[in-house]
Amino acid sequence: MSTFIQQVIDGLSTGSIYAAMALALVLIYRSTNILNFAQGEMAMFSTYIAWQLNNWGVPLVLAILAAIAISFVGGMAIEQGIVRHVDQSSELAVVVVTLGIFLVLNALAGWIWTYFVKSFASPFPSVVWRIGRVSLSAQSVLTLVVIGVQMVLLYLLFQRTKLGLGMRAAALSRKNAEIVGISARRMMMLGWGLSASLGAVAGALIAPKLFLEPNMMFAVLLYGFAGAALGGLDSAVGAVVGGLLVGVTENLAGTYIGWIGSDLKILVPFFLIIAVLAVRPAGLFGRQIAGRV
Amino acid sequence: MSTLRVTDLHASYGPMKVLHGVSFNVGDGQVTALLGPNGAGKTTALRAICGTVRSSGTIELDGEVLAQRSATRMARLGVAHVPEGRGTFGEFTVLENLRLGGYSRKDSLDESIEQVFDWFPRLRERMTQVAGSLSGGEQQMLAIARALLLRPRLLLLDEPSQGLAPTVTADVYRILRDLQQSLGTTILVVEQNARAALRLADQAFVLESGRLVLGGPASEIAADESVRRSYLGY
Repeated sequence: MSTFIQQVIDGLSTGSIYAAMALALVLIYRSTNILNFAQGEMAMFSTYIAWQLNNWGVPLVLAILAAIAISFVGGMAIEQGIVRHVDQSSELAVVVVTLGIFLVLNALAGWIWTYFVKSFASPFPSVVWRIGRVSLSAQSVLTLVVIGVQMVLLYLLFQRTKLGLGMRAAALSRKNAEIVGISARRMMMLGWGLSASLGAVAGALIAPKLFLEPNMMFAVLLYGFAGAALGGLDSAVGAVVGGLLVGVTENLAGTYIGWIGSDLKILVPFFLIIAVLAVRPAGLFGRQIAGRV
Repeated sequence: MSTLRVTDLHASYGPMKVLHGVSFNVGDGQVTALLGPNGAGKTTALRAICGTVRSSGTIELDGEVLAQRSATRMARLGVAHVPEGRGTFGEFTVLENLRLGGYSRKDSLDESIEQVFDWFPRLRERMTQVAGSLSGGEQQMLAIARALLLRPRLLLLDEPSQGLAPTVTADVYRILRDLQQSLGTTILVVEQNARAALRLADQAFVLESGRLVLGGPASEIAADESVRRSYLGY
């Protein structure tokens, strides 16, 4: 039993990484209606900014907060400088551009900071609690707390505020949003800024568990997408639940199904996703689009 | 309340000219109908007024010339537009759609939403439903209700009867008449269903192939049988 609990806790800990990324993906999807493939690299770049500031002597927490602010501006700049000029009526074009941003940021980070692995300190204390034979690190718990807070804030933003309503409207139909006086352009810009800052938070949470290097986010982005798709791409709650589920199922399958082991365990969540999406195409918490013609 | 003055309006989609110098006025607190057959340029005229199609000519609202027009700017000026296809969000709840209608307002919307629910009791019942699940008539009412939340100086309606059964069209027009009588909103309605629109309107203009062919008090146009036959199809 204690092995099981331990595996679930470890799974939640890994899953929280995916959840952090999934939240950023959901934010940009809801505010701009696109899948941002550059989200992982943007988070990686933000983490390097935090690392650099910290390396220059800025205290870690301050450095992370500064990186979040810089990312907000940077995200808006990417939208203003690049994404805005792409034909918005073609979703494919926008997606391809995000792939381009992915490559540019990856190469740029390698050029500025090299591909040598750097370690990124955790902003949380390195305490580990033991309850019976189960161990629980403060870092995992606090990471989950931060993600929980983000999830609630994001939910409140979209469901309870005027700004959130405007962002959702602009993402769904630019034309209909403008008719009621919403500046769709400003909403897009804000969406990019906010999701870049969420990415910075994700990076700062993830980097201490992995290492800091330009390719650190490849797998995380993939799992983040998986988590977001599982939970429903337009739901903050779904992103977190989906991310955590991916982490936990991956871990449990690796432990309990002998022939899967650690090599094949990444396949398990993907089978789970296919199964869920076959039944509920909008994801566990996604909005089912019901229409009457 | 306000007046809209449209002078020498030209508009085109790419190389295709749709409006050839259209001029008309929308009187303060009055209902003006823009009538005509399919393809006459009625919807384009509304779009040109809102700046969503390339156009030349002068648009004045209360004497102020509106040079740089865009949908966003018009809404902020207090011009509410119920476009072709209604412009509501099928994925959003009725309440969310109404809140969006008042997006440009700085004050609280609660009172206005209550007021709108008094006009449209069916919307109150369906407050938390997504708009896409409403019937066609209810959706049209939602679109009008949403436009009213702007507390518009001028209300632009594009074919409120479109896709509705005759009895539902009559309902929609009855509510529009009640609304107009108690709020005194200035309305410009574009309509293919001339009979319904003429009953509501104070004055009417008839468009054909991008040109105004006649205009005058709605009652006179409705009374002239030859005009009805040749231009309005009833």
